[in-house]
Amino acid sequence: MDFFAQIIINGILLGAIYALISIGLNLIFGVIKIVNFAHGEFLMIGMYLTFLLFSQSGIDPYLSIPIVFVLLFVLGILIHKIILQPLLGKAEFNILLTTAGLGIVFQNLALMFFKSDYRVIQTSYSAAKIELFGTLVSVSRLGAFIVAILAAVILYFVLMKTRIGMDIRAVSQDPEAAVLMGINDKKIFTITFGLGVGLVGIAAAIITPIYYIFPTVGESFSTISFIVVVLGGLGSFHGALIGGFIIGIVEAIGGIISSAEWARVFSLLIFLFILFVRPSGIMGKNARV
Amino acid sequence: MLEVKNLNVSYEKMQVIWDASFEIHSGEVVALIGPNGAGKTTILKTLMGLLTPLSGSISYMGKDLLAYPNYERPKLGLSLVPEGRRLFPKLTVLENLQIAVRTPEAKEKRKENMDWIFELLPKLAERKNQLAGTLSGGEQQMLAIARGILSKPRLLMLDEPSLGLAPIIVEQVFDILRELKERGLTIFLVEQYVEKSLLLADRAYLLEEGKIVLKDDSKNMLKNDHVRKVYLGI
Ligand SMILES: Nc1ncnc2c1ncn2[C@@H]1O[C@H](COP(=O)(O)OP(=O)(O)OP(=O)(O)O)[C@@H](O)[C@H]1O
Ligand SMILES: [Mg+2]
Repeated sequence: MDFFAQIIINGILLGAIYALISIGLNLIFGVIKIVNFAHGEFLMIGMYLTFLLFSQSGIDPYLSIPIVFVLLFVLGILIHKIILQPLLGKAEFNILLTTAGLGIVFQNLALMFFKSDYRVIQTSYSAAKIELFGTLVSVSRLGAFIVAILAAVILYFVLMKTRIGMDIRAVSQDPEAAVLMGINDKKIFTITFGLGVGLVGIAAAIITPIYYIFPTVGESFSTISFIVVVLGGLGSFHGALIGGFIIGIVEAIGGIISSAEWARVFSLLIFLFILFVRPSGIMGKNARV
Repeated sequence: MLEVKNLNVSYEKMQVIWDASFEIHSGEVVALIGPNGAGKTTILKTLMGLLTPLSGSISYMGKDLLAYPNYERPKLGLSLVPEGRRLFPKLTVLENLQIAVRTPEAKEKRKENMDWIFELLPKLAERKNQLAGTLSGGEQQMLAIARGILSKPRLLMLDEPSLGLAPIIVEQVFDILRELKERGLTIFLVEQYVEKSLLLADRAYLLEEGKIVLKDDSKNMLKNDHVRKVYLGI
């Protein structure tokens, strides 16, 4: 029983991280209708930023959450304004290639500045565990879970209860009608891109105490977030949450009964199965924020 | 209030509006009639800045409207109830109304306007927390018109507001337009119910194949042979 609880708890903790990473990707897809193939690399950049803040200035990863969020928000805004916005309305394919290309550029820049070394940060709580429902869980994983849930709740509140959130939802549903309401759709696109990238920055800060940091660290997370997003339903906020938890739990179970590599295979199988049953994803159809 | 001169508009290479000139005076109700594909929607979209004309000028309250980006035009007092309603289906009824309220004037009048709309359309009041996409076609059209009014426009434009509605609902739509007219709102109406529109409007323009072929007082338009034969079936 304890063993079972342990797996589920680990899965849920992991799932929240996956969900937070995926929400940013999904927000960008849901509103701007572009697939951001550089998503994993923004996560990587956020992790290096957190690493630098820690190693150079001794700032704890949790304290650097707002800093990394703001830096990535601004980075997202600049990239959208300077590179992606001019391509909007032109061939969709160009934007896909551009985001994929950006990802490669970011990886190579990281390789240049940081080499391919694996970095870790050692915090006072890195190895700490506490008891939760009769099982031992890592403090950094629990912390990451709490921040991920908080971030998701705050985002939900912003989207549902604020003026800018309403404007974002309106643009997501019908950009032309939004313009008729006096909304600057281009500005909303830019803000949303910044927000999506900023969210992945939050995720980066909270996973830095848990995972190694290296130039291609974003790739595996990017794969997971694509699975989560498609599984949950493209563009659906709730879908990304549910999808994140499902993949987290499946990987935790898979990781126990076999190896971590096989765990990924299990989640892909579950992914294929769910898509077979529900081709538009769990929360699909109403796939808009 | 609005003066359009020698407007030419095209989609890609295909020109659909040819040298159109028309004007709307403050307090007037002006109808724009014409067959399917004549270019009525194109003209309205150009006024709102969703399309950029090839050439021509649009002067609105003494301003060069074309110098303003599309998203600023609603703040100048222009409001379009678009063809096909274009509500935000996953926003609630209330949110669909609130989203139009942006200028200080609109904010000031918001409560008054809301009360008026909910009194006029009690069904919307009952459903104000429901998603707009769950309303019936008629209710959605009423909501679209209500949304168009909440921005506190100086010029309200409507693109076939009675399209696809049951006859009783069409009556209701025209009742609302009549009430708006009585309140002194300037209205530019595109409709396929030609007779009803001409009875409501002060003046009208007839658009055929992208060209304005006739302009007159509505009364005279109702007596015009061409209009009677082609559009009134008499
Ligand atoms: N997006 C578009 N791309 C190319 N051509 C278009 C586009 N929209 C409309 N057209 C063409 O432009 C012409 C005018 O269309 P418009 O929609 O303005 O007509 P309308 O008078 O509003 O017709 P309806 O009564 O059917 O609404 C038509 O020939 C139409 O086929
Ligand atoms: Mg039309």
